[in-house]
Amino acid sequence: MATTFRTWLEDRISQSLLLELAGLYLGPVEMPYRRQDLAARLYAFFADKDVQETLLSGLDEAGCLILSAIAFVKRVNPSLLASLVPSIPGRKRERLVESLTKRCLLISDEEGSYTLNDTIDYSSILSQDFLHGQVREHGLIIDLRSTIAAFVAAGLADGPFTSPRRRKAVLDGLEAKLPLLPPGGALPLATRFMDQLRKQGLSGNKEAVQTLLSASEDQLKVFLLGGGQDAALLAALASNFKDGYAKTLFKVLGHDLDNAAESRFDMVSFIFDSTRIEGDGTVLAVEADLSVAWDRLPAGSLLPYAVEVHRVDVMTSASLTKDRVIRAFDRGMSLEDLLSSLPGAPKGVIDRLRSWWDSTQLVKVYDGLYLEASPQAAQLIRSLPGMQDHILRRIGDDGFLMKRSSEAIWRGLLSGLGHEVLSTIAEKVTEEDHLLVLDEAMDPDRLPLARLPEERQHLDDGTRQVLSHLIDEKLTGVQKDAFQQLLEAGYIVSPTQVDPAHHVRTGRVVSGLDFNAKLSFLRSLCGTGRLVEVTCADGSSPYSVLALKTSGASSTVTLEDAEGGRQQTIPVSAIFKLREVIS
Amino acid sequence: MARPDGPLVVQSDLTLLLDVHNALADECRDSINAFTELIKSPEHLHTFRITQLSIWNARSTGMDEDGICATLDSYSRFPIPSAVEYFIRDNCRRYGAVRFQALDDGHFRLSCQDAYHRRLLESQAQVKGYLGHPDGDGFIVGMMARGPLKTALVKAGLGVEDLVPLSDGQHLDIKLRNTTRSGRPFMVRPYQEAAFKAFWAEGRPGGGHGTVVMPCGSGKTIVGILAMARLAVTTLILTPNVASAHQWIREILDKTGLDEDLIGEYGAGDAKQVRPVTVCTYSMLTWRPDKEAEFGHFKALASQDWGLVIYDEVHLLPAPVFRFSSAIQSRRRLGLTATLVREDGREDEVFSLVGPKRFDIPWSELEKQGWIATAWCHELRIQMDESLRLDYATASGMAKARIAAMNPAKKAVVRALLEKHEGEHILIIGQYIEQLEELAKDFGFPLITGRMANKKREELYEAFRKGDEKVLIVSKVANFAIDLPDASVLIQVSGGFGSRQEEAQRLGRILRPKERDSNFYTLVSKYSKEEDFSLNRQKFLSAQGYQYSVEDWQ
Repeated sequence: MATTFRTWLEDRISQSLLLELAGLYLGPVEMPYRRQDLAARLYAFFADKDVQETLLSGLDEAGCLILSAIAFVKRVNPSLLASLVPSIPGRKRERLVESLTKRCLLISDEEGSYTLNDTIDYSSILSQDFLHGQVREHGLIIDLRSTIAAFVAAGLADGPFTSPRRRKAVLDGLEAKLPLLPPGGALPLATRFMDQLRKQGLSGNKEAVQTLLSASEDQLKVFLLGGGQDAALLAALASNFKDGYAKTLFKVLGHDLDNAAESRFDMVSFIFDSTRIEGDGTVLAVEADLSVAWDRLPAGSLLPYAVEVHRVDVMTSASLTKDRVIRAFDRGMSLEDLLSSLPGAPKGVIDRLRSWWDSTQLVKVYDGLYLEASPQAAQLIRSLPGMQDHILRRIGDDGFLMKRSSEAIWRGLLSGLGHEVLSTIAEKVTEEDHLLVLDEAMDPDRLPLARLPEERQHLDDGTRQVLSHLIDEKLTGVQKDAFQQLLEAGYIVSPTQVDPAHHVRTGRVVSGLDFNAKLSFLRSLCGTGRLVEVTCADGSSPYSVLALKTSGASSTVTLEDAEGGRQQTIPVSAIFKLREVIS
Repeated sequence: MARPDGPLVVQSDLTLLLDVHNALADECRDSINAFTELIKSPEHLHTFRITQLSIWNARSTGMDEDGICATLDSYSRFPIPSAVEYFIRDNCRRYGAVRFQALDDGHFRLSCQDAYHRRLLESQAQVKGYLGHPDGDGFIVGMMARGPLKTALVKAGLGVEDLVPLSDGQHLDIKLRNTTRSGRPFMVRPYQEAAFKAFWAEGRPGGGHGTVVMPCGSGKTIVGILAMARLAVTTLILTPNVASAHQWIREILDKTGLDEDLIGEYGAGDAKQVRPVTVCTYSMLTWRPDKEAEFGHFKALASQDWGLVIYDEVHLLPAPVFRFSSAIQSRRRLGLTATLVREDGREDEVFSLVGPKRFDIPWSELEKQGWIATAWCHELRIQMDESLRLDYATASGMAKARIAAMNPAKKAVVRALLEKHEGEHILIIGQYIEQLEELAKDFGFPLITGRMANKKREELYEAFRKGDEKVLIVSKVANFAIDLPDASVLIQVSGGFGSRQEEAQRLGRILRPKERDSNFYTLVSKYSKEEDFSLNRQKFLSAQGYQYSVEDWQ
């Protein structure tokens, strides 16, 4: 069973490390101490979201890469880690691992392997280059040993099939040991494996195959690769191609593959790494039953992220399922992105995808807290029995500040209305921000400055002026004075705290993956002179938007440099992020 | 040698993808039909599958491993994966490991290839019980056990070479007419002829039993009548309901020279006629006074010396009829269906008892050739009003489905569609009787449900055929086997929770070729589970290449 952070603190961690961590994070430890109490206090400390955010925000690139690698394979020993992140030299890597462990971002088990702290959401820092955004949640542990053990247990190492009965028993056994095996996959898998054994001179030599099980991960790797590309296919087949297995193998072994093997390996790995494929696709068939088949995809195609892959073979077969498509939308893919990956899709398919997209656009949730609905949906939400218990406050006509603690419940209620609710993240606004200001008190003395996270105490002058202006404009009397004091004390950090209705207009951030949102945001700024910070591969700079030319995926925007007046036209798709500049 | 311009992609999981836009596609399809099963036939890539059974069926009709591999090789765009070739050769060699040979009327001899196979049979629990008594390297088995034994052997992965000839049955001279009794020219279409040929296999040992899959409205009945005429034998026809039994009788009278008194209906009441051509419903065949009693009519019909048994809409075969089918394994058997999809997943049993799929033709092919009508499918999304949505949001699962299905706003859509298609023959079909009754009351059209007497139902169908009634509102009783040639519009106001075959059968009601294109409307409440159900219902048809446009009703 995987070690959890709690069990690590309570049972696994050495006494010296426990005391060191307690001293670092909780202050001097009074002696004598109770291990359980200390562990519980440390657990509570690290469970705090602010603490977690602070820990993550202090990571450098190398730290992120190591955590990404571990997120990818779930559990890692030092030698595997070395294979996964060869760009970090050995000594530096060891120091980093030690440092990450002391920050409780890593935990170790008794076998000397590392896993991530299960109480922390690492998604904000994981290296997308490494993960390609998708494999993180679905990667399997590299487990070559289990795969070979399954072959042995199924009797495949005993030599060729001598009877149909044994053959059937072997295939049944194989299916039982490898539950992810696709239907009908046992026979081709068995055939491939037996070929492999024959090539290695191990066919019929049960003892020799048994010894494989005591081999190291690297030795197993060498064995599987001994027969060239078939080994990769074999392992991928065993994992049903759906998970990170194939890609993990690729990442681990990629540098060892010769050209021929690599090109064959592409077949199993490219669905997880579409950027590897270059050149135009030769066949891509999109059928009315939402099935899709292709032999090669164009470089950078997003399609694999929106389909459920059934089989990677000479041709890859997959389906556009509602779950996968909605999930892709949830991760920032726009309808336009998806459609551009499906040239020649039948109208019925486009209609269906559009209807799924539409169903995600009626209700949006920002930060699991602020819910924005279409006017019609908002009306229903207001009337929905049971919903009132979860609404902290109405914001404008169509917005709601929701209880974060009951997010699962109110999302359930919304799904009853048939709305797919995406977890869109827009600007930074927290429940605490609102509650502190709106509910807790107007008295700054009740709000100890020391509790404030550091960044709240350092607003830039421009933002401070905007906030001050807003307070003057929107508030009156005692409230105005109180809010000015709160601003000075560092509690007012967002215009929405002053004017909740300001929420959707201020400091808006649009993800680079959300193509439609980018278009619509740029359109709203076009010709207004308002500034937007545009992040591209070259970096970030403020611009005003002069013109927008929409033409599907090749839409372009003409920008004017805020300082020098220099103009440039760039593809909308090349924009990583847009952030409204508050002036 | 694989060819870069080949139309076929052979996958290592034994599926074959046929590029229908390739110049060799038709030729390739004809060649691989004999040893594959068609899985789906959408617009671009048709999917076929090689199975153990499909290989054995090919072997039973004389194909060998080299022939199959050579066929694949000649059309394949890429080299055939070695695992596929291994599978084909291995299973071809395993065909005939167990063999059935005729002894006398009541028994056959089961012989095994070697002592190993004999011991294998004896060790298989599901096979052992049917083995009869030992005889040398095999067993003497009673003829009644032939069906179930064969099923058990196939399940155990053993390819049976069944050399027991099928009974010829009694001769009956049946001539096809060139001009129907109603005065219209009549000729068998090429694909109907091909379907019969695939079923009959020129009388070779492996032929004479099997299932023909053809789209609704493409004339499956004609394939049955053709088989009766070509084999010239007495025939028992089993149908899913009385209306379709009567339809068979009408068609036989219309298209053949048989006299009326040679055709009998084995039905309820006094209509228990056993004649050279007898038509009976599944429910009649499986009727019994109580759960413990014997199936009374079973024996009477099984004991006749039929030369052919036809199972109409074989996908509906009720489980008790499996028993009947296993008892008549020595008869020639022809299954007919448009959608061999069973929600209970018992398609394999249908194959093993009635016979394997012998012929399957893509719907799009027949549409292209004009043998079935071009149909436009529309999914119309209809808003629920606010109070209904609140009811829906707080209802339980089953109640949700009902609320969405009964959405009163659908009525206005039905009205608009009736106006749009005024003058056409229109069917309104639904799941909930209450909803249909309300529509019947509002619009004043006749309603047909299972509660209505058969006679009255047929009168209404006849009035519809003649054009005296232009619109019928029908419950699921009209899902199957009702021939309403002029119907060109179908409005589905509600449907089952996701029955793929029901959707296809309903579309089938408007596929008879006619002057105008057909329109199939399915009304779905927006933002409800009906959207998901609807998508599931459409799976079979979309796998046949039918596209649903999804439109928001404003």
